[in-house]
Amino acid sequence: MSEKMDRRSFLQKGAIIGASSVVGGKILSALVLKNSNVLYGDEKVDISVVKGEDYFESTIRAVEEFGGMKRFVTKNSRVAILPNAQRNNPGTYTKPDVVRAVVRMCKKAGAKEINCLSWLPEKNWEDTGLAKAVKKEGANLVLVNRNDESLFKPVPVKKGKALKEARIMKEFFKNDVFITLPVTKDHAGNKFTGTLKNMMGLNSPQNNRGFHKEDWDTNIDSIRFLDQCIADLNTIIEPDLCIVDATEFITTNGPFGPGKLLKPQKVVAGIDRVAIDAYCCQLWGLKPDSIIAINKAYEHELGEMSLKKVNIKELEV
Amino acid sequence: MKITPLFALTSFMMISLIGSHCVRKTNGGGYISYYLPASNGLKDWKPVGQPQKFEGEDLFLYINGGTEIYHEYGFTQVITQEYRNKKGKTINLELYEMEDSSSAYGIFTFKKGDIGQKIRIGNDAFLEEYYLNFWKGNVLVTVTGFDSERETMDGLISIAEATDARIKTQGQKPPLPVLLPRKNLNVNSIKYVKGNLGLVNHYAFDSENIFGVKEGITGDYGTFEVFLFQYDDENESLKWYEYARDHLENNPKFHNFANSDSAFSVIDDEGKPIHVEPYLNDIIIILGKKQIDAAIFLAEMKESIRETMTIEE
Repeated sequence: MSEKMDRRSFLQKGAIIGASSVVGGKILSALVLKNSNVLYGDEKVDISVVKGEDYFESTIRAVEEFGGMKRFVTKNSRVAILPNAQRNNPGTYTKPDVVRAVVRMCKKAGAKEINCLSWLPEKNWEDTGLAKAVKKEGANLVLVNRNDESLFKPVPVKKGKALKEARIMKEFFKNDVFITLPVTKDHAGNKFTGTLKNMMGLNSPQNNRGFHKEDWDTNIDSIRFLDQCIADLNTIIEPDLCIVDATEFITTNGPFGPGKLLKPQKVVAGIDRVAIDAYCCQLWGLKPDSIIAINKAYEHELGEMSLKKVNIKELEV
Repeated sequence: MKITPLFALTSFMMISLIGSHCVRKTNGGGYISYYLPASNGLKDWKPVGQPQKFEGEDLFLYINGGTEIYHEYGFTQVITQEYRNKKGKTINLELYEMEDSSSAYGIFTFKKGDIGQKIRIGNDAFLEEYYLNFWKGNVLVTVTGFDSERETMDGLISIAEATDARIKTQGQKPPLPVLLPRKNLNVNSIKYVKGNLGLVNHYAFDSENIFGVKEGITGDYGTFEVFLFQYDDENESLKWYEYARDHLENNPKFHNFANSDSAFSVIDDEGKPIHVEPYLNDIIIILGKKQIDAAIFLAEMKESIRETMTIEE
């Protein structure tokens, strides 16, 4: 897909955007961010947020408020989903209920195949309960051997300021639609992790290692380099839908934990990764302009970082 | 005292000769494996599977991100072991070996929260909602359960105690925390930092290391917080004081810059007043929550610094 679309045609062709964004190795979608909202009458929604104790139900509602899954998943499409299964420490992984709801909605929308992608070991998936959730809902858990670089495809990062080549898992390219499912949480290195950083879950761990400077230097240039690489990586992969688990997460000792838990009980859905991350970071008092990765992604014109310019629809169930 | 592998290995061999424990050979290998409680050392919890060990940069393979802070404090290796009880509940034990005891103390203060329960394990221990941290010698121990139920919390403590019993080395806190006057100090708030990343996670004066922090301490006194950064000599502290002063004066996050011969002050973007003053080998910073009224406190702190320097001389 290369032509830009106005909002009307976007709304009509929403699902096709997803399909075309990953076909034939042409990962970079030309999705126009100003069109990343949904229109209900006069109400424009950029991000939908649902708060509630039932995380399965909240996820369903958050997507419904953003136009419903059929907007993104066409009949007989293959859907790649990317939850975070970093660790079974509370507040460090995407909740199984959130993943279950997404798989259920994709199936209902007519998806032929739903593939949960990861290079993390099976133990992470078992320990977090995510393996059981994925399988029970009828999705495939596709685990790629992290040590086998041949399973990752080199992809040039043409707009990259720090990252010149990514190595994306080949399994990713077998899908038509991509839904990212991060948990938002603290990160001791760059303060915050959300949709932008979750994309490292598709990139080979060895390539990800290169985001960090030699000797794990902690000076600001090294942290800026890491955040620039994260933003650069996002220029070649654009999710068709982002659903963020902000139900319970750690606000200290991230991303691995254990750490102090915050429980806003929110599920956040949208397309604009920058706006979503800007929204999520302020859930625990961080300012979007203090998060380097958000600034770098904004500089790449990947989305809007000023929440004053974003229409957020929040409801409680 | 710096705990060298040779020292620890010697301790380990002596303990083995005494015969009170049977040494377990693990995939991890090395003396740190010995610190893991064995099956017969715990009543209700048994080890599951083999322990895993990661050294140096391979920490990245284990925690998959956010390793910089461990390296800033001086990480050398980690060993982990999972334990399970009859009901199938799981507890994870992690032992992080650090370069020395001050590094272990530092990462302990970084990882522990300020709301929790201080308990008597190791040199210092803190029990929180579903996990506990303690440090002993050059090791930080993190024990994590996955809920806050009674049997899990009891399990955390019993595994931590069993680990504590196996770590025969002792360690001393670095001298810096002693410089914080005790009156009104929330001791649970103390953070010992060994670089800018530790500091930025607490309060970001600047993303750049404008104070050249290589060793420092912070503490909360209710109406204000204190930061003390220590340098090799007076020239170095003055150099970094001037460097930070010039940066903060031009940083849009701060306003109302006021400078005198011996100190400067600014107000941050949340309206918090900040007083910065070099003193001997140190820089003292007071971050007020509303107004700073810390003249007596400053005098006490300077006296502590003077006394410490006199003792060292």
